[in-house]
Amino acid sequence: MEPTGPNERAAWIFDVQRFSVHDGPGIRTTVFLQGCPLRCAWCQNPESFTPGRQLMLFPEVCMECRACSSVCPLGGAGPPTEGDGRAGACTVCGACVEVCPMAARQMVGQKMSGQEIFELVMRDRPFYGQDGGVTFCGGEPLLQWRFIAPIADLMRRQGLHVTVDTCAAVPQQTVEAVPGRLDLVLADLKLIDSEKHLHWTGQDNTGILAAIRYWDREMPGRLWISVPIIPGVHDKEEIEKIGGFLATLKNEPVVRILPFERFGESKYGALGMSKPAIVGDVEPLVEGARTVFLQQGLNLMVY
Amino acid sequence: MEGRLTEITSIVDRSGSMDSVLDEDKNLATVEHDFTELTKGLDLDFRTEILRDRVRRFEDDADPFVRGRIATQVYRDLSDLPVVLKRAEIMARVLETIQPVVLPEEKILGAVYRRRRVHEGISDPDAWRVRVAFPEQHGYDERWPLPEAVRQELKWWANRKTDRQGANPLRQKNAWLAKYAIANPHGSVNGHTLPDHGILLEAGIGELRRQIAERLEGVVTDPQHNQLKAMDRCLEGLSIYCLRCAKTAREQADQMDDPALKTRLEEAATNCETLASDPPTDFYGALQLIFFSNFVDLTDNPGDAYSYGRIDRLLYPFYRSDLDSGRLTPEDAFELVCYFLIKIWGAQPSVNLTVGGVDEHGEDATNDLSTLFLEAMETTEMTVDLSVRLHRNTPEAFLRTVTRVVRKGFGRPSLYNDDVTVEALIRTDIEAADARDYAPLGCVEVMIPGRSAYRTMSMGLSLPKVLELVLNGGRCLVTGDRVWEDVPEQFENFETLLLEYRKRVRAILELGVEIIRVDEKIEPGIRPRPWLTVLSRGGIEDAVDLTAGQPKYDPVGVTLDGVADIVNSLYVVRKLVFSDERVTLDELRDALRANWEGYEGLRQYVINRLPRFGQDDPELNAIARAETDHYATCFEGKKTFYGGQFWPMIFGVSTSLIYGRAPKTGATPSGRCRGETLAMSFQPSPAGPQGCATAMLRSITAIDFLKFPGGVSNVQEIDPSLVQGEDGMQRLVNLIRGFFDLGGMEVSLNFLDGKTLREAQQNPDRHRHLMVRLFGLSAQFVNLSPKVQESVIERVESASRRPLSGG
Repeated sequence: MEPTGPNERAAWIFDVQRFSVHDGPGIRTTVFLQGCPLRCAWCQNPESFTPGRQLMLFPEVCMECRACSSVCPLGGAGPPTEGDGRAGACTVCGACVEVCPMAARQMVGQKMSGQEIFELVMRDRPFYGQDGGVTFCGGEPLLQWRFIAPIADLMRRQGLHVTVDTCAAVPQQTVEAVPGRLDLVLADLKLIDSEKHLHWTGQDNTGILAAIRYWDREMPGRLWISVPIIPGVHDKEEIEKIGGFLATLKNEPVVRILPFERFGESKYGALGMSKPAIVGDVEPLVEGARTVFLQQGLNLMVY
Repeated sequence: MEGRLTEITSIVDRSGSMDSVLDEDKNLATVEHDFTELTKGLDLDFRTEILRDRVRRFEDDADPFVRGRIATQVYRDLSDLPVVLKRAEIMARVLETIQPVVLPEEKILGAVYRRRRVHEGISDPDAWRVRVAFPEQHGYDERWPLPEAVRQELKWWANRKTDRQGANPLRQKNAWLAKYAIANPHGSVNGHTLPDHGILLEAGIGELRRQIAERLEGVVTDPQHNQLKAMDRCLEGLSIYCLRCAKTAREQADQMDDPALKTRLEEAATNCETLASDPPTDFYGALQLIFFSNFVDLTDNPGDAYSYGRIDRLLYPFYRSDLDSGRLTPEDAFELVCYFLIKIWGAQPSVNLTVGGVDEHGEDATNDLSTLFLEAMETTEMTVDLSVRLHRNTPEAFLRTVTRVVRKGFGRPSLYNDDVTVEALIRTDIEAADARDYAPLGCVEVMIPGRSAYRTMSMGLSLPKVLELVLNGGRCLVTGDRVWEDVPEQFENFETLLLEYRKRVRAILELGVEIIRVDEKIEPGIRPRPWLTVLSRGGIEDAVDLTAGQPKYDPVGVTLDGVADIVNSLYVVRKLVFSDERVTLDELRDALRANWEGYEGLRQYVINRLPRFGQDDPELNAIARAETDHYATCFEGKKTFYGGQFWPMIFGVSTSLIYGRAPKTGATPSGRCRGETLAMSFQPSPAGPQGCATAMLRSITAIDFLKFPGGVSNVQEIDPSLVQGEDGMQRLVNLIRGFFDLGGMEVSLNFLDGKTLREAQQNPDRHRHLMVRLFGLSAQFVNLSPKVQESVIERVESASRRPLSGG
């Protein structure tokens, strides 16, 4: 599957969630784009890594009707007890997905045009009020800035509040384009120690910290920082460093703590990938982070 | 005690948390007092705490068989009396006999029937209470738990013909409609009243009796004479009842040591003494009289669903003049309303009070009392069937108060959109000023107080059953009977099938209309309503009973049960058989006849892989629109017996619960097996994935509610975690505003989780406060029958299967 190029009029989307309440203010629709420069070990959305159609299997609901076996052009599809048919030459043609009565076989990833996204988002226009709107999420939505920027313009002209939820590992040019064209940025800050960052996400954080500083300066009051707290990754020292960095930002962005949840783990299995090895109790770390951030006078949003 | 006080204080604290928002909002033009401030400072009188507790335990519930005995005596000993006088005589004698139960802590006096259950099938242990009170309708039942003397007297009804039996020959002839759970057309219903209590509040008992005497001196026919005499007898009974309540209160006052309680009882007694002849002079008197006025109605109606009407409008003049004269502070008024709500609370109240909305000119009419009733319900936690009328110019501050109370999770208040409802009424034969004065009746049925009869909830059409018969050559899948001989076995295409189905729908509705008209015609001869005629505008002047076409308007509200199952089913038939040709019609029929046994793969495919109503799918929305339009269109040009119009409604109370329709409806193409719940009103089918709240609300607004002036019931379950905090509050405001901007007509919201409800089943004593919203009413959860409790839990749990929000 070819990735969406910068001038494409369509993007690979893996989900659109309406009545979303955690991705910015108000009632929102969150559009999830595929494709991400990072590979965070704890990622909740592994189907977002690369653009394209991907087969997800949920063997626990399979009723063993073998409808998939009867349509698979390679003859490989079948109930989980007989192998999942994904190995080898599977072309992800989707024939098995179409016939599966239990939705035990699902296809994730579809190409949507800007117009299609716009129309879907506008279905909930009456519920957005003054503060609600749309959040582009991912994956990394800003990788496809040239796709989303014109849609964002169109939506803002309709009075929608437009946000991206970004990992901030994006080209400088995009970082600079954002303040003028979006209402709010939700940026992740995962780790301050750059080596650790490289180890856990596949990239160092030089660009990320620069982007956050830039947005703090250029869009005061319109930046929220999300800090994921992951057992085995974050410790007290790291949390203090994160708090210390955030305290240096002059426009006091909203800070949110996102505790690790095992919610996304089943997706790895469904995609035929191995689960992230995250072990440990997140609650004490979250408590610690809350205390540290409050002590450092951060603008902490509490749920 | 202390625990309860802490509870109240914490509620009051929570309600105070909105202060900052309210302060920011200067749009308080029509709301003069900020009651949020007021209740924050108010430590509710500890007596109301005791009172709430006593009331929830039904300590003051009146014996239901007192009325039963009196009715027996009147029908037995005065058999020659014209029926309208019989009815009045029963009411008057009840008022002369029934013990005025006065709890010393209360301010509003008079008996109550708190345990009266609403609708059959709910709260089984209390079901006998209504029946025994109305033997002239229900006859005699050996199983009633009665004192021996009462039993002997009521036995008179054994094997006697009652009002209900055999009155309408056309219904008997078409008993198959009910037998096969297709429809239940009725031209008269139990309960469901919406009188103009303002007539009594304004004139008082003495003046109305004088008007009747004067009218009797004019030219009157014999029936008019009887009618007027009957109306007078009701008023006489009420006058005596006022005095009896006063006497009881005085007796208690004499025995009372606590000086504060003594004074309170004496004041209550004086209040009632005045009302025996004069109109109320103050707010307290008005509350007491409107309570009495409704109680007279209760002595005459064997069903449910009574209404106070637009109570904030009715009481406002008294409130205003008390404030102006300095007799009353807003705090006093708030306390009185708290006492009033405690007084009228019931296990399944379905006693409607309406606040908010527009005036006769279409201007906002929200006033202090609109807010005060909401705040009082919030503070006392006595959930009554409070309805709020909203419109595009509803003050933002009031909407926030409403939303805050909604979020408390009582399942009340329910919310009405004036912008749609008024317009829908104007499109019938209702004058604009009257349309703007509508109020919900009991549950959500729309009527015009004192200007319409109360025929509503008629028809109860089940579209999935019609489709079942059409798909199976006219055969009922449950009994195997061939109901219609001339339904084709095969259809060339979906359009032919749809035409046949619609033709059958129309035919059933035409038949239903005729049955309803016969009911209307015979009702005055069986169950005239002299008291309601007193409270109907022009009632005394016309001297014609309310049931005989006296009111200005004579509509009949006609219900369609539910939307989801028929919309899903039609879609499945079209998609599977005719578009995709995945199965043949015969194969689908075989699956349905086998109750899906042996076809689990196909059934699961239908449930999991095809879009369903509530997910905002354009094709399903279009079917919902088309089929509800078709339903409404079938009544065009039809007249009720007294010349009014049929008002289409969507209200699925009868579907599964009341008439036990689920087991009488075979497997449906939507993937539902025989016996499984049929979705009510706009609720999604319980099986399968469901749309989120906004998708659900958008799906619903695919329907053109301007064609449903009779009202709709729209209960939605919302995950409470999605509307927490101040942000959540704003989201809820936006959700409500958005739904109404899209043309939504009514909504009530439940914020429940299955876990709490299960816990309440295990420990009912700890969850007496838990009220849940059913189709049209709020009910005390622990007092529902296990069957109904399960259906509530099923609904709540299926709502939680909506996709999780957030990334």
